Amino acid sequence: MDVAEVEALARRVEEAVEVVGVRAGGLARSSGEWWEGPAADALRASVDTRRARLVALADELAWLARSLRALASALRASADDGLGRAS
Amino acid sequence: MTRVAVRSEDLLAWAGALASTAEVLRDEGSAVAGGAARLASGVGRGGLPGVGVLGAWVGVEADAARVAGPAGLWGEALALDVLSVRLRLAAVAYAGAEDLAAAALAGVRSGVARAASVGWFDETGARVVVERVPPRWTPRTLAGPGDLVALGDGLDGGRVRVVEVAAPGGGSAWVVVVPGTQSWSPRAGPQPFDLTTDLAAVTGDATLAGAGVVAALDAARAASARRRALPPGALATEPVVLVGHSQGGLHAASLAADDGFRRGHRVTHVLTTGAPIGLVEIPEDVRVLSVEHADDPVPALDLAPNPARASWLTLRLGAGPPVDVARHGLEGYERTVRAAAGAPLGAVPGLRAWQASAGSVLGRPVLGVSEVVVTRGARTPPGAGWQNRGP
Repeated sequence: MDVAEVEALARRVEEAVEVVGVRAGGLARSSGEWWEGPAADALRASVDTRRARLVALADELAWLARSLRALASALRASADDGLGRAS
Repeated sequence: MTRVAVRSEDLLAWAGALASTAEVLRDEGSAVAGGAARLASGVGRGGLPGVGVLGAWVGVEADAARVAGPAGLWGEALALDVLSVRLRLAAVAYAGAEDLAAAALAGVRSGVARAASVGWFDETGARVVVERVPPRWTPRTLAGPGDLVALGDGLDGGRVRVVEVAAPGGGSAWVVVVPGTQSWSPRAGPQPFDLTTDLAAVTGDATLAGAGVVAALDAARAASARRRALPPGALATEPVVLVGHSQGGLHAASLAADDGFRRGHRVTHVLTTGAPIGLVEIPEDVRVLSVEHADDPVPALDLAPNPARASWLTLRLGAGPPVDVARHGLEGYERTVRAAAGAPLGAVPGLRAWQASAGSVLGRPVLGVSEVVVTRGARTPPGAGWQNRGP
């Protein structure tokens, strides 16, 4: 496994954290305030549920990004250790 | 009194925003899952240096699968599309444009053009390409609903399976197995059974995939008609059973609800597993069997219970909140359906009756099986129509 590949995925996941966070905020703004009635309330509640889930997903993605960074560090340390023994 | 004030065009815009977010989530999920898959491939080639690194990688791989999969970005995208569909339908209803909605729902082919004419979809000019491939399924008698579910095994790469059986009164009956989402980390591309075709099937967004299924069935029927020296139209009254898992179930249900499809195909039964089809208006003369694991999050994505009616049997099995993605797999559903079908008489109310009603295909000799691969072809100039390659 290539450290550079792991770090590249970590960066991509960090971008995903940003994107998902922005989209969650967008859902909050597009709440259709002008629409009233029980159907509107039900759908708005559903959108709120999805928005909350997206916020949670952004957190999970952030965790994944940190895990990838840790994996990259472990790989690098392992490689350094191997070089040290060889020299 | 409740006051309802609404602007349909704003509802459509809101629906579009939700669909756009869903698309973005798919892209992100695809990127995460694709990256993890590349790393996994690297692990397979070269292994990992040390137990510590291996442990870290195992955790990362599991987290990536969860975050990108049905309990993560994939599921959220589909859930947002469900909301988008609801809004679109609400907008049409509020605008008093029922005829437009009917047009969008009317036919798997015409729906594309009509829907595109109001700016909902952008697949105008795309064409479906159907290519016959060697079947992967070995013909054997379909003894029960478990065998119908098992027909969905091996349908990757946009593969549609059509099984012809000898109907009890002469002639043939047909089982069409619609593929589900091929992966929870798809990329929109040539394969139409991807995550760009989801619950928006109800309003025509999945018409390319739907048209591919129609083309697969019609090609099989045309071959049968030639063999039996019958005009193709003579087969229009032969029973059709639609089977699908996950997104394939959604397509199956949508086809059964599609007036255009039903005009040329006598849909008698629909069997879905792990599919969110509660919002699909399947006619009452179609016998529906929906199997859902209570802890599978996917069939709950439509946030709507299945209709309670005599011709619609929903088997909701298991317990617990719908959070276990592992419960979504086809194999698990196959085991569930086989267990239910093998339970003592009366233990699963309604299942034996559904099975008996499907006597046109169950327990009947298999006459043939055909499989095609459906792909989304390059865009063609307006008016160029559909193009099939192969059978």
